[in-house]
Amino acid sequence: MIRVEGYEKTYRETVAVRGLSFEVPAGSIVGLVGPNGAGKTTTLRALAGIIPPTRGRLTVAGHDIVQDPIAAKSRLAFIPDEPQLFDVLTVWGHLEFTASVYRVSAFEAEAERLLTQFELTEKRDTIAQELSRGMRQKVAICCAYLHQPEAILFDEPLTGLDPRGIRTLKESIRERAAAGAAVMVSSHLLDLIEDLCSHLLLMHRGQCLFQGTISEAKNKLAELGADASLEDFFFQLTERPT
Amino acid sequence: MFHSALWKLIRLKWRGGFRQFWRSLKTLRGFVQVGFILLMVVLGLGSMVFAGRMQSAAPEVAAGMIEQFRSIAAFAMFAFTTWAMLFSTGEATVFFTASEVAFLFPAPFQRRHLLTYKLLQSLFGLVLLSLFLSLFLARGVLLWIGGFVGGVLTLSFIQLLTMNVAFVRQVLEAKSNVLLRRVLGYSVSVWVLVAVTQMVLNAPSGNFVALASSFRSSPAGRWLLAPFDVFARMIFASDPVSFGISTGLVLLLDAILLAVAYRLDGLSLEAALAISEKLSARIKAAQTKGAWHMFSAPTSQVARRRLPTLPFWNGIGPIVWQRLTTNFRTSLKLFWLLGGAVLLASGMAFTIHRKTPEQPFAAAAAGIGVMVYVSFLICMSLQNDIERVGYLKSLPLRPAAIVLGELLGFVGLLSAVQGTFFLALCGLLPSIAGWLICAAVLSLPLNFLLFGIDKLIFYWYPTRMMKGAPGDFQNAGRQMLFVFLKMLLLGGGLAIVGVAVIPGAMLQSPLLAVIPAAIVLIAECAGLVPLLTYAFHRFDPSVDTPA
Repeated sequence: MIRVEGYEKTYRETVAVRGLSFEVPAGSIVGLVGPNGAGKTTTLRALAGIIPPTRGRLTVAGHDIVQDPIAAKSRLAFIPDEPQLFDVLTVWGHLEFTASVYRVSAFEAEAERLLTQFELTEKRDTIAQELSRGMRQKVAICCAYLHQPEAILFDEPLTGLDPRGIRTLKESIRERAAAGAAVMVSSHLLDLIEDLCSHLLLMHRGQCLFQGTISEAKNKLAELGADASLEDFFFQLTERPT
Repeated sequence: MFHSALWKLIRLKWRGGFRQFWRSLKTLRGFVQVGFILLMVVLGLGSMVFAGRMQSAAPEVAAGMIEQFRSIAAFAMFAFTTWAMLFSTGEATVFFTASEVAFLFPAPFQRRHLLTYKLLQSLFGLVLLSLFLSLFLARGVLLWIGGFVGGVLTLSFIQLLTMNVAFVRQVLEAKSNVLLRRVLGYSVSVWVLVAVTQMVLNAPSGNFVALASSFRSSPAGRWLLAPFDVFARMIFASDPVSFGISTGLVLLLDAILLAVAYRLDGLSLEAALAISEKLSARIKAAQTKGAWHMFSAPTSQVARRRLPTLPFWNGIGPIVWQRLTTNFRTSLKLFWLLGGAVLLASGMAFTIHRKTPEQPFAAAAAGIGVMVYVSFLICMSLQNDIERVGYLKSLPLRPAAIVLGELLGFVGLLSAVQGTFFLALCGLLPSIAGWLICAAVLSLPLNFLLFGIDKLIFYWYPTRMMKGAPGDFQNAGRQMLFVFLKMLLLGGGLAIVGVAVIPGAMLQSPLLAVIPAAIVLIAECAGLVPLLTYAFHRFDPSVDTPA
């Protein structure tokens, strides 16, 4: 569903990502982890079509994000780390606009369902600037889900959510993946990755250090000891001498 | 060409703006603030209508005024465009807010949809501004509609030009083409400098119209003003034929720029994003730290600049040091502006003195006027940082020391710059050196008063700048009320100083003028300190400030 081949991103002399290749099959949840500055957000933003890659080919559902951006973006949803909403629009206004962008006809029932799922029904007519950080995040997620995307990219999705919100989001991600969506979750919360994801992609200084299933990562952990955690695995790979 | 969802977004935003407007009317404070801004608009429009009536009563005066407008229009457009480019306001056209980046960039829109959306959004502002301009110039244009359409097309031209320059700059930056960027930048700067030099040397007097005419007739200026001249000819066309020809040319110029913008924008998606992120960061800083931070340089570029540590001075020293260091590291353009103000003010005084050597006070007044104006502009937007007050209150220092430290950094900086200017003026106008030294001495308490009043209003009623949304008349009204209040307080303080100066001025004695003026000013400043201290003490950072 999501395929990245030889992706490279440079800013002047700085190489943010170099030679990254991976694939996210339909129905899988890939955890994207790495230290600060590893290139995770740069990768997600390139996949979302926000920034162009310097080199490489990024496709969503078979559509190249550079060559055929409209088709690729139509099948994609991106939820950034900081929920950015239009201050003067209501919650419903955001959903209405999103439905219009992705040409979702008769969106009302699905929008109502999402509002209920994320406990936003009472906030339906509240303007965005009056919402808390967590509620803004929930609105961004509802908008992202509205057009039933085939590929979903989350950048630090749990920030600001309350325990109920976290549980709802995790459940919804599992549901979407079970329905055939390819999901990528970038997070520093290794517990979340271990709990939620089927695959792991570990990045460091713009390069991929590990990619495979969580169980493959855990098999590697066996070398570290029986009670080693994903955290130990993370430090083992990212802090070893180069 | 345009996506229906973007129409919907514009419509939803407008609806949201009106909703906000009606909501703001429901509180007494909001009602007063909205009422104030509406009153100002009515007064502005009323004065234009009144001016029109006066002109019809004296057609020969009106004709003279229009002739003046015509002669300076191209120069004024050029000056405005240069300002826009220097201070990157052209970038604002292609600026996407963080929410627009989050929603629109990953959405299935073509890039040109987004550019059209941006241009349409700004078109409303241009139409409104052109409407005001056309009302103002109504008596001098052949057809009112011609003046109005001319205004829209002229402002569009300026906007598209600055936008394209911003694109080119970003593309060159992205491609690391530092050499080409510098060559282009320096070439244009040298060209403008040559034209300005020719203007100053050839101007018959120092007033704006004479300077504009001189610039227009200089060889370098003629080239620079050529495209702007076409617009001036269209707006002030005297017959239908010249109006038609110039309108055709204007449309062609706008169309070319529009085509270039679409072409460049297609090539520079990343450039637009970089512009948006840069401006987002600036706006965020401006909302909390004051409008001046719109022009701040990124901290990383200047983090190595250091100032020597100051003595403790009961806690005043560290605050002054921290303030100066912050400005030194983040507001490079502030220093350029101050230096530029000294040069401009000195240049003005020099030009006027050269033309009218028998009137040294006129030359000095012109220069001082420029300096005071720039000082006031800086003061209005420089110092107030809501987030910073919480930090300052946590420091183990007396509130009076903090308040003084906060003020003295700016006052010292501005007074030093003004001192340099007065020294230069003394060299230029030795016959009134005594008066100039007096003015230099008085500038220190005067600056303290200026910044102190600004700070006092901020502590009493803290507010963030730049939080504008469509229909947010309450915010606009509040900002205008603050400016009005500052002017009122400052005017009151200066009126008392003016009374104290009268005996010295009548006796032609600088000393007798400056001593009572200084005493009054110092007394006013001394009275301000306990007020500021009390206001700082009662400032509650936990209460969210109106934005």
